[in-house]
Amino acid sequence: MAIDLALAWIGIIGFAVIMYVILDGFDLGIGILFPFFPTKHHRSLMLSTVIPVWDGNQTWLVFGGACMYGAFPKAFASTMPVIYFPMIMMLIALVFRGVAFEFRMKATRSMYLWDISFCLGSSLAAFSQGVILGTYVQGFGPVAPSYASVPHYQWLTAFSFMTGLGTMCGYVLLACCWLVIKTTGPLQKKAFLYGKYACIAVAAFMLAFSIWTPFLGEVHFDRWLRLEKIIYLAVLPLVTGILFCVNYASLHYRKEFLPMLSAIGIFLCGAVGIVISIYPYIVPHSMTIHQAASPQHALQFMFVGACISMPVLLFFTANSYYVFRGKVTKPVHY
Amino acid sequence: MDSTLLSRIQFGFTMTAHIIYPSISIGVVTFLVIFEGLYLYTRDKIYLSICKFWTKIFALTFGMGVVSGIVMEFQFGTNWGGFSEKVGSILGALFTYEVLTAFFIESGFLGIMLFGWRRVHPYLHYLSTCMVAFGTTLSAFWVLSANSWMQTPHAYRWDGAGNLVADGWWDIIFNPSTIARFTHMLLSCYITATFLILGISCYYLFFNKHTKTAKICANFCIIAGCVLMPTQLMMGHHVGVVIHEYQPIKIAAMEGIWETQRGAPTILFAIPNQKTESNDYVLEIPKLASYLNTGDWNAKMVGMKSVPKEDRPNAFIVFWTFRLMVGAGLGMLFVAYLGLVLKLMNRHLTSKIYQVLCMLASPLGLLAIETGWMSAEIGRQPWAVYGLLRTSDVASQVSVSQVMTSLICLIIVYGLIFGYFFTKYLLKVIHKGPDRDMDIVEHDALAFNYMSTFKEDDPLDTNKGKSNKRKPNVD
Repeated sequence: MAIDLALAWIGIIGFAVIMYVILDGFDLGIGILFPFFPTKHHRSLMLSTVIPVWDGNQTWLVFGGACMYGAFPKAFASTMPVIYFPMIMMLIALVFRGVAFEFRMKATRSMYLWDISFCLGSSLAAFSQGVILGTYVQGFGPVAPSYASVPHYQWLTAFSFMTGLGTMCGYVLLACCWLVIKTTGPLQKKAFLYGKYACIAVAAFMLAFSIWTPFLGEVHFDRWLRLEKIIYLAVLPLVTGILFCVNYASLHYRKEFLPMLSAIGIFLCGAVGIVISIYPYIVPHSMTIHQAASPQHALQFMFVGACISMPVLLFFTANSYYVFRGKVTKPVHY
Repeated sequence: MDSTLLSRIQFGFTMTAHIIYPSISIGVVTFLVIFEGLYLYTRDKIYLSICKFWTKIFALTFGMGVVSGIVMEFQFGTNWGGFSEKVGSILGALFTYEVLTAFFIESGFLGIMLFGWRRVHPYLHYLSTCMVAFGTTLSAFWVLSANSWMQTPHAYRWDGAGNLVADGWWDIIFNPSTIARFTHMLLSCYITATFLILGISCYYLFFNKHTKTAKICANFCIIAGCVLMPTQLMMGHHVGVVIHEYQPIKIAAMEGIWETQRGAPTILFAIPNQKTESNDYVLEIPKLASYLNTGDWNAKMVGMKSVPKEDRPNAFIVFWTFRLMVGAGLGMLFVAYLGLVLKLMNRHLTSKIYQVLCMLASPLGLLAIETGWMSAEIGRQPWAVYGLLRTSDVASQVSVSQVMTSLICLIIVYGLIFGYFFTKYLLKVIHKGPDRDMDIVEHDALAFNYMSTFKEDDPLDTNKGKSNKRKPNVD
């Protein structure tokens, strides 16, 4: 067979990560937006737009993790301990975020507590994910990191701090676009407004990210700023720039679906940029995709399962969005 | 303290907390499948009321299971890097299948099951409930398959770099103990839910609240308990036989047998003493252990002293957790059959003493699950994969301070969220009970809207003065 299974699995994991970032992105973004929507009614509505689907959205993270574990165990084993702290931080934040959905509906007097839990949990989870992304793009140094000797604070840099904040802004942008689709009236109006702010902030962060990345090290510089490649690579910033303009304009002229579509486009461009920074490594600049891959038969075994179930699962996911389509005008309860 | 021990404590702690929720979820969702089916078949609103109530408890526990489950998955990487590297291509594949076949089914239909009552046709709703039940059961299967492979590794070979790779997937998934242990676990989930529901129903009967629904549930649970408990005892026995064949030292620790001997006794009470390598204060039944584990009264049982000290698990913990599990099981067997006897005398729903007994017995299922898993997992030590990989060799070498920090954070967070608030809201839901006023539900044509409780939170409900005051702020 001509399929390179290791590459196919990178594709599947990439797809899972993108699905996660976009779908759980707007869930988390709604949490980050909570302080800007102080009324209880608005908050209930915002939560109601995601309550029926948030569990499915988060499952993409579980899926990405499991695929990484199964298909690239060496990469999983050597990167996770290095990002120990942000990882645990993200997991704990996701606990606070996740239980808030359930507890808030059951609470009467202590509802504010779960608003705080939801907001802080979402913010911290988004920030941690950004930090992990930053650490990853930076690379783990010339020597392959290993579970046997873990450098402690490699994740703690100005760059990863910046990507953390950038991720939060990105999720806010997605959340605003989602709210534009799912809500009406004053809430939607506010979402249009904050969406525009978020759009500008994300553009700023992406610009900073793009300028900073080539100067992270020799390898990054080689990839982005060699003259012979620069012409091809210039396409990417150009497309991203156009998408930002479309996004801002569609929010300004109050289109309902275009903001979400262009925001997804922006995220995809970001993903392509990251792939260019890293490929063909899976642990940046020390372990390639093929070095980290499981034995061929393991990849094959998992691939069969993925090919059969992925279409069905995507159908289930789409179905659950279809069942809960339309504007949310009343908070859901059970 | 080294980081390996801390990582073990952290994994054990998070696992102990996590397992509570899927166990209850699997049992309760199966109960819901039966009762929603009964509702659709009879169209009797009383069953709907039962479904609506138990769906609330299901939603609460399922949510806890989801968030505590993610922590488990990523800990394989953060704390057990060596383990992930060496067996990732096998166990990771099984977990990938778990996500592909179980989690996405669950999450795809969970929203519809919880919030879709008025959005989809009743039969489609029932299908969603069934799919969620199917998904949770499958996820238990994959987890048990992976864990059983760690207990009784099969169809593996070593590659050049010291990693374990698969040699036949069918034999890995269905390794020697998978089916037995999966059935054992599934039955314990059903039993856990049965006794929780029985206990809560008896609480209502005791205080004369919601008696109509409580009677139906209590009757159902007593019958279910009478069927499930003997089945579980036989299944547990079968698991013991399988484990005895593949992990004799674990059985030796569970039975408290130090010397290899013929006709080994079943010890009812003892304090295993690791220093003297013997038991103190023994009370035993001769030859029973040999019979139970092999079917022959005089069969040879391997003792713990047949292997060096560093290859033995902690005798005291394994011995006592195993006894607690069996004791809890026998207790539940007694409660179920006492219920049956009282039922035949038509006294089971009026006897206050029996109601109190059921309330006391309600956490026994969970106790059995926790202690059973502890004896299985601690009994596997010092191995991560039995006989192949030592736990101490496969931990990540993260610094003690990092693991200590994360462990303390997790204990605080879990104590607060799962210990305090989960219990608080669970009790709140139980205290509130099923919606009594079925007429209103019918009248509103909200037959499938079990979300009609907690209406005070709905600001759009203009009948309430409280909401009217708030309304100007909204628009």
